[in-house]
Amino acid sequence: MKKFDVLNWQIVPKMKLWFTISIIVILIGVAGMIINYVRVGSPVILGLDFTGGTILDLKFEKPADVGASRDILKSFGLGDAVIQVAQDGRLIVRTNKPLKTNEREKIFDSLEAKFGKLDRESIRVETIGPTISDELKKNGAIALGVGLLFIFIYITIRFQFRFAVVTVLALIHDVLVTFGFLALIGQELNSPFIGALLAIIAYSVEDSVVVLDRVRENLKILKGKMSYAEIVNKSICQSVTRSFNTSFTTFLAILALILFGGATIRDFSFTLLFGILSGTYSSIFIAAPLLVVWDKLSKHEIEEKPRKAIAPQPATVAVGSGSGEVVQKEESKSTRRKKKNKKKKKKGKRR
Amino acid sequence: MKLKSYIGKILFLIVVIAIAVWAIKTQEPILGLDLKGGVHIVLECEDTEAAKATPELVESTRAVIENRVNALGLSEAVVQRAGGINSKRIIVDIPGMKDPTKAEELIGKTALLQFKTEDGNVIITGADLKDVKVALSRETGHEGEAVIQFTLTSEGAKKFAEATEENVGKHIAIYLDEDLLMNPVVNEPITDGKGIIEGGFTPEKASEYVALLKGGSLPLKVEILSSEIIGPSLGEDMIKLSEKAAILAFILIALYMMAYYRFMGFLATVALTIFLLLDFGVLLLLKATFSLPAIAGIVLTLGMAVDANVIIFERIKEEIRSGKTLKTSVSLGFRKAFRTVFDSNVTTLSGAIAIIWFGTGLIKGFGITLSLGILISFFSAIFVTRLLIDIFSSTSLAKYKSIFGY
Repeated sequence: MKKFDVLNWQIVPKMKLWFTISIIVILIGVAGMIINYVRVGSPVILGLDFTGGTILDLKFEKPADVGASRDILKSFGLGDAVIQVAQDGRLIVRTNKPLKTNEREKIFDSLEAKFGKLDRESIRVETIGPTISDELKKNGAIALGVGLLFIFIYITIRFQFRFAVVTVLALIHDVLVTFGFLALIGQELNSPFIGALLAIIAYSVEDSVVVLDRVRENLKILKGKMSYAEIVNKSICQSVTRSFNTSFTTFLAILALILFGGATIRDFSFTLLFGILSGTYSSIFIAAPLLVVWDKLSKHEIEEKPRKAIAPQPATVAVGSGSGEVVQKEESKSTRRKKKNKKKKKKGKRR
Repeated sequence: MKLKSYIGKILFLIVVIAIAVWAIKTQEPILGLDLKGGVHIVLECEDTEAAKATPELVESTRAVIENRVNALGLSEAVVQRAGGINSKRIIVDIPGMKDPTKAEELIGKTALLQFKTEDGNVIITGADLKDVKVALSRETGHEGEAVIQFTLTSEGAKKFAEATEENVGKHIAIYLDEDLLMNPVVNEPITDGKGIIEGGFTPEKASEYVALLKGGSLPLKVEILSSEIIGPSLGEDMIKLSEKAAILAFILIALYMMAYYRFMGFLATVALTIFLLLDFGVLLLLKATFSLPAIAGIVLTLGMAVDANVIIFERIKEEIRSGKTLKTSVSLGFRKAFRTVFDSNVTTLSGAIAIIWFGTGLIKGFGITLSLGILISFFSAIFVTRLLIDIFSSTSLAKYKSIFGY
């Protein structure tokens, strides 16, 4: 356990690697989304809440049978219904058309004729009409947008604009990774998943805040003694243990939900689990390193006029891992010089 | 020993815990539809040829539906208007209904009762009814069959008397909406305004019609926008499973915290126990609904509640490592961690509030338990954990830094 206490990982110098990993993961997800789009016309498979329709989850005296059920549904003009029989013999039917009460009862009668009496105390029927599904879609998008915007504004006020930008970029990363994951496993998306996504976003921000808070503090103490990249790297190393521990305890809670949560909660929990892993990763390996990229780019701009030739150098520095330390020192000298020029400007920005 | 200086805080904590325990002991949790079974229906009123869906008519439609639902005798049923004053939406929640598939029929039917002569003239309608009830037929050959007994208002009785007088020997048909209930021949004028409708009803069917007739007919047409019907036996296993999930989460987190932070981890576990008591207590006092997503929210906040402790403990360790005394480290650690904990809680809370705001039905419960959990975990970390550590560092055991996991 002691070895965790004095971490000295080279996270910032190797950021190109982390970014590449993320891009690959996101691209795999995007590929999944494209496949879904070609197959079903939407990047993720939309569930009942967003498409409208009816789900029947029924238990009869005898175990149900897909073929016979399909014939019955066909006779009601519902040939395109998705039909499944669960292990315990329950029949699960999803139609794209919202069924009316009398239609539903007629279908029940026909099914009862085939599989015996329907257990009405153990029934689940969900019907969503087009008005509601449109509303749910709209509200979901608004909630995600407003959630992100609020976090963006809050971090801008409490920290700095650039902290807010990298946090939101990390969040978008998490949302993309989670969507990709959902697309790949072919999970149907219902409105609880918007809840899961919002929880992931909120949680991922918490992780980023812990790291960024360290950066802010260290910037105050260590400015001038170390380069920006070194300060960020040190901050990450200092907060890695707590990032890990906070995520791990939440991971344990989600694990309990996956083990005992029942089908609906299990899917929801898997999404949470994946999103929170991504959130932990992104706060350490994406958000904080992006700060360094931002710092380099902003200096790059200023430097471009007086010293065009040297300007691109810092950008390549952070990437090369082998000779990183030596060049970084050089870079820190030039950083200090620039910081003198920028000091007034920055002070104005921060508070 | 400076324990005395903490007595006020300790007493406060004991009172808070006592209230929470009292709430847990006395308050019955309200279970959500997914655990208890029942029906959740969203209706929208539509204009008819006869009437426009004005706010007043929407309200009287709501009242009629409420009457019908109340006739079922389920005490927790709620029928409410959704949205603003001009909203045409009505939400019906009937938890614990035995055969929930019946609800839609009961709610959506216009239930216009009409007595018609052979040439189609309407004599009386449901509005002329004073009372209806289910009775058992005494007629020979039909003994024990369910019938509907009705009493008319005095005005209705007068109209009915006139009509029966004119139509002796002819049929008078009784319709409920489009259904012909019966078509008897009038033998003699009926002047006392009392009668019986026989239709070969099963007792259930008769009670259903009585509920409809008692409630009155709907002034507007209603369209079902969405409905959720869950059988009561479906949720039973789920309650046990969610209990297991919560217990397992607690044990795993407690073990991990104690393994990693040793004695401070133990204090965090004590704080987590207190957190759980307070969380449940407040949820019960607020009459929050316990649905599956809501329980998922509670379990999830168990994982998040220790986060603040982790952040604070890591800070304290850092201070100890830099050579400060335990007491200074504790107070510095708390002070430095406060802002981080505060910021991270505000951002998580904002996400949870977005869930409530967006939320419909069940997922709202997730947002509510999540927000409340975050608020209480903040109190638990800043006040409870702090108090526990403060008390402990004023005892002689505190000499041994090693028990603080360092």
